[in-house]
Amino acid sequence: MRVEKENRGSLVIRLFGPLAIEDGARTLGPRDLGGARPKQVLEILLAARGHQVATDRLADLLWPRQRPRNAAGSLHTFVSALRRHLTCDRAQARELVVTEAEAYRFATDLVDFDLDRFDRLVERSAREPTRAARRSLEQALALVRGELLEDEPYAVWAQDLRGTYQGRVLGAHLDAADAALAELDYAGALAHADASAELDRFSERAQRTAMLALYALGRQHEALRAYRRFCALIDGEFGLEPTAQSRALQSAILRQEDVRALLPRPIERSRRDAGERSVRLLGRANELGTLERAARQALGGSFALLLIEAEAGLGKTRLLDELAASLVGVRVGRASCSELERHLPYVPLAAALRDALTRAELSGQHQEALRKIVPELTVADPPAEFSEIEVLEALVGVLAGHAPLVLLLDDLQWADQATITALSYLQRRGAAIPAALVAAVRTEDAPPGHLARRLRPDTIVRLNPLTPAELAPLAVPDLHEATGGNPRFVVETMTRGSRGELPATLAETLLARCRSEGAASYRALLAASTLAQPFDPEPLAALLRADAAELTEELEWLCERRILRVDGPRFRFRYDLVREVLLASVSPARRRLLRQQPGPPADPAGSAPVKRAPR
Amino acid sequence: MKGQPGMHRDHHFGQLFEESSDPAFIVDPFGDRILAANRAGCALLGYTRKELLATPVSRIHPADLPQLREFFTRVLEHGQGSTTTLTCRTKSGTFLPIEMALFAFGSGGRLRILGLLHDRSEHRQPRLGH
Repeated sequence: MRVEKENRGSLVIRLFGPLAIEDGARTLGPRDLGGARPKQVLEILLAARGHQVATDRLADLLWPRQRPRNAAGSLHTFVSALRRHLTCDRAQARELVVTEAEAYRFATDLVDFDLDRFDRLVERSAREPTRAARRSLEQALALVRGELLEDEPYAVWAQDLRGTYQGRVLGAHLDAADAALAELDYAGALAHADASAELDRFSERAQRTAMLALYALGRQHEALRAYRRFCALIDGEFGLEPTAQSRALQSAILRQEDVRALLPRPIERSRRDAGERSVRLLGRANELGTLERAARQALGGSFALLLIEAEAGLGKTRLLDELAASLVGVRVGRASCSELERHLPYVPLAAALRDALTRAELSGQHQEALRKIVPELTVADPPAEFSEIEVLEALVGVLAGHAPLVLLLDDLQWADQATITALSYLQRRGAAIPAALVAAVRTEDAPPGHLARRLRPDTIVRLNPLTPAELAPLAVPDLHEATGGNPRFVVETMTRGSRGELPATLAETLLARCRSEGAASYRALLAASTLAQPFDPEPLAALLRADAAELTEELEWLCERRILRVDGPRFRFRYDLVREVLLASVSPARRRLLRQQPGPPADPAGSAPVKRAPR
Repeated sequence: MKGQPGMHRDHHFGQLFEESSDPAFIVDPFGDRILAANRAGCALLGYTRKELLATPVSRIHPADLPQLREFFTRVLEHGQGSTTTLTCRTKSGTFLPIEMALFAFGSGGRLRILGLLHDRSEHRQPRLGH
């Protein structure tokens, strides 16, 4: 392990641009590795990314036409030369270029390797909020000093690797452009879009991003010219037309739509943050594992409807959070159904689509029919009429066009009929779409016969209360007994416990209820508790030296708050027990002071707090 | 000594609870059990105290159990709550419309709920006449 400590990060290997190896002050170039063959061996081993390469495979790559008679011996010589030139420390060299059984391997984990660093940064960006993601992407792109393995333009291993990374660099530029657009940095977005187009002039996404950036910069004519140029290019080369999405963007620019409606939305928090809570996820490993596996399988190309069923408070929403956080690199749209909106068709589905896709992505060949689901999509005037089946087909088309995709719908028990129908239809028609719909339903609000119960999910995950063993890591005595294993109550107990807010006694519970109405109301309630019930507002006002009219308003408010109630022209405590607890809490000194106030005599109970009040 | 005033107050409260004219109950929100009921509470539901403590909460609210659970959940979250939409079944099988005020509190490290009930039958009678 000595070598790992000394070399991790100190030996830097770069494949972007010409091969370069930096070791402190020493820098080795392609000509400093003991010849062309040792250099090629190094490149092949590095291209294998830490995996071993069989000597046979190495020989095939080095001598594609005819192997020398002693290929194994030659290979051994090249490896020895490579080790000698790579570092002066022989032990270190052997740990870097590892001899395996009939194979060699380069220990990329012991060096700072630019391809690994690039991949890590790009992967990290998928989990980060927009600002941080853009920073990570730009750090990754800064590593791209030139074309990969520039000094090996024709070697097979270099071409394969180059092809892979050309796509990754293109993707990083496009993602960075989207992030820049979301941050309203249009010039930055245009630079990334142009860089993408340079890498692949047929990239339609690069063209669209450039058009959007130009439009946002106020260069509408240039955006439209870029569109026409691109149309001519793909028509001339392939006889193709731009996709519906690009045509929709062109139409939006021609209509001079508000640019902000077309821009991607920034992600404010990282997905990992969204899953984090004050109390960590306890248990649920099996349930989460089942959902993740089913979702991944669906994303592999077989649409699936997954359902989480549980009573209130058992952690459905949290499980959706965790699932969303685990789907790194997957487009996720999320929405909750609302009890108040259950009469409105498609509302949760539209919200989930808006969360997953930008306005520009929702626009396109399906946009007219899709307008029934996402009403803000602008269409021709007057809008055409579509049957329900056409609307649902448009939905299938949009999902297919933007898959892989996961939509999460919480509180499905409150979904409208149209949304439930759409879920069923998607399951039937979208069988080959790499997408998943994950819904959570509260069982007590979805009895047998409920619409949501008619769905036939591919996977059902039922949540039960947590077991004592699952709560054990919290190390709170009797937590399971106190909460019944209900995660919501566990959270409440933990947070209340830390705030010390749980009333310690029953009397304090009721007093706390009265105090929560504010100091003035509490004072009025204390004074009212000393009066015979029911009471008039005037003597209470006299006791408190308050304005009777204002006090009456206060008493009416306390009736609304269900502490008092109206009794003919008077007021009384809604519950005598509350009054008695208040009365018992009045100190003898205050009782004496209240008795000294002008006005009608207070209830005799004022001097005998435990006595039952007349009813 | 710090805990004594509270203890004293709760002892006091026991007396107030028992003698209150409000039907009052203490329930275990997770155990479907009534832990304490006062005289007025027993009278409202027509059970003896012994019978009532042996009767599950779910048997007293058979018609609206999901709503009751949801209400319990809300009360445990917010500390208190009040509703006029639930009904209680008495021992004789009559359903009483009730107003219910619930208060969450801790007892020996466990969550409990104090329920104060108010019979709304009279309230409803004139409405039916309209």
